Amino acid sequence: MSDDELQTLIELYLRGEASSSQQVQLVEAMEENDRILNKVYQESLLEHDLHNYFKKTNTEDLMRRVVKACGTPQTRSYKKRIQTQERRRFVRQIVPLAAAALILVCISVILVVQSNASKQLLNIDQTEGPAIYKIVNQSLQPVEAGNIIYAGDRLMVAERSNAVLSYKDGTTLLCEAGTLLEFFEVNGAKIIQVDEGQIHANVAKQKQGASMTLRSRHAEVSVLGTSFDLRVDDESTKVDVVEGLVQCSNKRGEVTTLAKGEGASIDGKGSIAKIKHKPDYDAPYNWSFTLNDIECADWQGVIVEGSEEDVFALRSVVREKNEHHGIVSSQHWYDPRFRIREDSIIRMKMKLEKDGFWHMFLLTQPKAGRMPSANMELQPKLPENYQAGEWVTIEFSLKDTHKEGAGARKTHEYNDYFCYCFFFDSQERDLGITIESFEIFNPNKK
Amino acid sequence: MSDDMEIWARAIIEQNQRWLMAYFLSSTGNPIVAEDLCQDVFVAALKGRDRFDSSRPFGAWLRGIARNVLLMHYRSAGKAPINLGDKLLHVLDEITEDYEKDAADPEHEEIALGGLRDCMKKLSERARTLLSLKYGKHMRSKEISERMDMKATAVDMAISRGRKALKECMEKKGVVRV
Repeated sequence: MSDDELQTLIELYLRGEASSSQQVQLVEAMEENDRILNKVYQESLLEHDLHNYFKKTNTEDLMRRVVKACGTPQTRSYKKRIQTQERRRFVRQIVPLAAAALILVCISVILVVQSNASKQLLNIDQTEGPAIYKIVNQSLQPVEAGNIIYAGDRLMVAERSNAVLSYKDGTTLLCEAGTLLEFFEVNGAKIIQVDEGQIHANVAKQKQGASMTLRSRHAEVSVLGTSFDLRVDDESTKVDVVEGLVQCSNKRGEVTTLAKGEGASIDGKGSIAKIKHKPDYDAPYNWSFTLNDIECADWQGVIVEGSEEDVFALRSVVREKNEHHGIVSSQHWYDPRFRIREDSIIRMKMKLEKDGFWHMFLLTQPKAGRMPSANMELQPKLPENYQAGEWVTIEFSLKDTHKEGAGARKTHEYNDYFCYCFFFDSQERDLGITIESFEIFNPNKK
Repeated sequence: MSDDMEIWARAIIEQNQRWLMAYFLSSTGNPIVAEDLCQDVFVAALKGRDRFDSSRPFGAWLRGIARNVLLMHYRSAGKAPINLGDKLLHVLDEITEDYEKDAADPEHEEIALGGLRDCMKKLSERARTLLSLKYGKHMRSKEISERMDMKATAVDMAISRGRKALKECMEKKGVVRV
């Protein structure tokens, strides 16, 4: 192996992008020569430094997780972070009070919130991940499933975590990692201040005149009963409507109505860009593709490209030493509104050239590289009377075949932007798995 | 958690995170797993600090915890991902011990970052952008290639060259040792 090849191999390894055979190759090289391990260690230091340099929250993130695992988070860094957030919030919310109309609105909201200070609004149904907090008196109070959210509460869902909340009327909110929310109720109308992050709302029918409102610093979204996604970051607020109608307005009071399949992006200047999703609105609940029978003997660790028509090719073959897995992936077929859930069902037509144990991984990853990514190790079973060489169509739900442990990360909902599916013969033999078609759907929308 | 313990927690994390992350990254080849294991070490150290014998070196104690955490991970993860054997783990311990002693300087992580900051300025704008997309945005080479209108292999090569230039620069500054 040349120095350049070794360097490339080490870099792939440290980024978690090396294939199994490449990992084995590197370990063998280290066993032959101690200095290579030393080089790997040095490159690891640089890798860590680069992550720290570009993502300046690494240490704080680790600190928070350690503190969370050890007890109540009361560190100075937490206080500093919360104080910073509070200062920003102050600037964003109080400065516009110069406008007389806004003063009146804010005062009325504050009065009502105070009067409802102890009113129970939501229940936390599910939590996942290490870092979900209520912000109380500028400190973070960990919360878990079963806890109550009261009027005026602020909720922070930090990295690698998510939470499902529900109102008594059945309205549910899935809050993604990196979300900061505040909850109110005014004259029976639900109000949520979304400072940042992403939520998926499934809103039960609301009383006339008491629509539910989600506010961000760019926009206000009102609904009477619908399902939609809302994303808020520094630059803009984005809305995508899955079901029903949503009324969306900017800070200048300009209003636009969004129907099923439509979305809008509202930036800080108030301009509203309307988006129409194509091609059909059943797509979020179902995707599938046909896999041509092509030869990919040297594709280990390589993403098989998809065509514009979302037709993908896969032949999971094991032709050479240690090449024992295949991968399908896509950046095209996956409609961001489609959610892979634990009750999602996979149907695939496949055959094995030999009998043997095999399993697969389903991995979703945010397009922009945000956390959390998630993967599930699945162990679907073939019919008992299956004989090698036969084509068979199997159908299984993720929850029935999900294998706990072995590094598998389990989340209740996958709603990110693209997805990989790996097929492994864990015993590293030439099973010759051929997949002809692959389909995922959610049973309630089949 | 008491204030005293929080200060202690922050001190050991800031002082030991760099060499510990390198230890786990070298032994697992998986940045996410490495971060999780690093967390496990700090949690174990904080919870078990009463058992620490102050007459013995703290770094050695932490390295012992790290090794146990790694072995437990290997046991639970089975064959995949990779599993360094006893001999390599022994060598890795020796390498780590050497670098762990650098951590005695409480400013060492800041020194490393400062060195990196200076060296980063010497890279071309394009190299900085590529590194930023890879390490800041965690984008895959293919995504970067689409955004930057380059071939994926060219992206990998450019990132590799950028890393090499950074490493050489940091070696000159004495931040990374040969």
